[in-house]
Amino acid sequence: MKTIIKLLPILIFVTILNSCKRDKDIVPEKVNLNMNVSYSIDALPLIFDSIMYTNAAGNVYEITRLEYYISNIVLHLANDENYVSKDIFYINAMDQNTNILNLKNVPTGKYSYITFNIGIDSTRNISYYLTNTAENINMIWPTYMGGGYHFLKMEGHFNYASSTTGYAVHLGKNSSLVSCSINNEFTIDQAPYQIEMVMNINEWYKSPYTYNLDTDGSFTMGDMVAMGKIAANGANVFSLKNN
Amino acid sequence: MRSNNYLLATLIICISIFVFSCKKTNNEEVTPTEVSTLTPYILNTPSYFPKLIIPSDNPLTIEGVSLGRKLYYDTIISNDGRACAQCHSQQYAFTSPIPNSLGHMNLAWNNKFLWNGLIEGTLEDIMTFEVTAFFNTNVNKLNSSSTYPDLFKKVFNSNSITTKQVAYALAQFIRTQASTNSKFDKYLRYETMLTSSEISGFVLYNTEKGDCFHCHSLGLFNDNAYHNNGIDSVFTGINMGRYNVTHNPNDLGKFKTPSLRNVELTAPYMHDGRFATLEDVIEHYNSKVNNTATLDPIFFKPSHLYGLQLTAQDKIDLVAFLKTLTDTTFINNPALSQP
Repeated sequence: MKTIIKLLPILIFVTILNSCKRDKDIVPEKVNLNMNVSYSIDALPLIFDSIMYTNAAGNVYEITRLEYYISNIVLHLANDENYVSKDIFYINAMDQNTNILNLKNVPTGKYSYITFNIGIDSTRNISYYLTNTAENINMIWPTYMGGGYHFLKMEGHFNYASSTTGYAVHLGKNSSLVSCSINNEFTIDQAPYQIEMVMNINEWYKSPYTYNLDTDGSFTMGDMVAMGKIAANGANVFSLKNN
Repeated sequence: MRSNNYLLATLIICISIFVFSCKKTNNEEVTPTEVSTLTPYILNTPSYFPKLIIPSDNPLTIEGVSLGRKLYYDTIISNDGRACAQCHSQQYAFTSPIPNSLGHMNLAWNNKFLWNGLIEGTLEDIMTFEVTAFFNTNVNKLNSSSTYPDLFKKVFNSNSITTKQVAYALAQFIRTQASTNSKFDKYLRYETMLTSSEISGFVLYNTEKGDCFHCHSLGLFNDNAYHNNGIDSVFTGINMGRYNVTHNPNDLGKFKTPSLRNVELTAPYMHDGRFATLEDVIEHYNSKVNNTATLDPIFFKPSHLYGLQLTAQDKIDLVAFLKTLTDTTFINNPALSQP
């Protein structure tokens, strides 16, 4: 008994020493990861309002505005323990700050692929659900046409007959939610912790549906067939850079 | 007994170590701010507005707002007998029938200012521009006045009035020029009904047919962005718009979207006041849009290529809806009138 009593303080002390959570106990395993988004049109860089690009349907076009949401990011670990983000990111291709998606407490390790949505899932696609920033308010999809938010606003001009005309590819409503998948392996193991994603804008018009702005519709809003094709094509718009 | 004392003492020591050993992250002492006699001014934001942003170096106070209001109506800030209120008159929702000042309403929720967006940032930034570049305010006049030095000292706690303080006081008052009680606001709060014509106008406004909502988003009724809405086919002088700030040819003819709140009171319309009536404005969108290289893509909808093709009744309904944005509480608010 005496021995136990004499040992007890040591035991308590050891317990205390181990009870305080130290940063260094966590840091090596969980990191803040930046997913950096950039843009291309096949091999060309995105330069707003100037370069004319050609899509799979042969439309010659340029881009004036590109805004969208990315949500439900899941990083799939090779051992099936997935990292799931509940954040909804507003992205304006013109505003560099919005093109850095910061994910907190991401486990380091080897990942097999990434999935996410372009848009907002039905449980959260409700007008004024998001913080009322000016950007979010401008993305609201009018209640009279279903409510929620625009998932995508991609606008510009394209050559039409002998002149140019405008186009506005908008996605909204729950049926237009885009399910993206990037099937590249990658490893998060050393700082700076970041992965580079590229949106190839021509993919919006390419596969599985060759989308022609002239014949499939230069304005998608209110046209469920057009939005359906664009949303399906959206599955392939992102890839990892240098992979 | 001795071992019990020993145990007790050890436990107390251990618990003490335990209590004090874990590093706390949030117990840093906050440096107490100077005890202030100023009274905070609470500005309510409707649920359908963007978040209100007030710079930390210019908190909204009753005293600051009151000082800003006095300055707003006082010709002392100019050198030619002008005051802010001359071009921003309350009865016209703080615009003027003389072309063509943008209204001072709900600027607390905007971050782009003037028709061409010359100043982007906070109300403090635009007011600094107005005080220094537009009015060229002579602070000596304020410093030697009988009333202002005490008022500024109370708000800014300094013995000498600066142009920055003048700008900050004005920014505080303009932040309170909030129009949030129109018939449409009351409708959104379930406090009133719209007539069938007003409802029809709202549906036109907020769907693809009238398609006003893409730029004049519900809430502020602007989108805090720049667009070419097709009023010109060639661009010279002020009609070059945003180009005059950026010198980017892609910005030719683009202007900040004006808010449509109180639009019934803010004639004439467009940056140069070229349209006298709301009917003129609607007719522009209905049939007179000029196709130029920078025309906003939204104007090219196939069904809109030859204008919105609104019927006479559609136009009446649209105007009826626009008039529900008139806020008589705002234009009669004694807290915003000449002190």
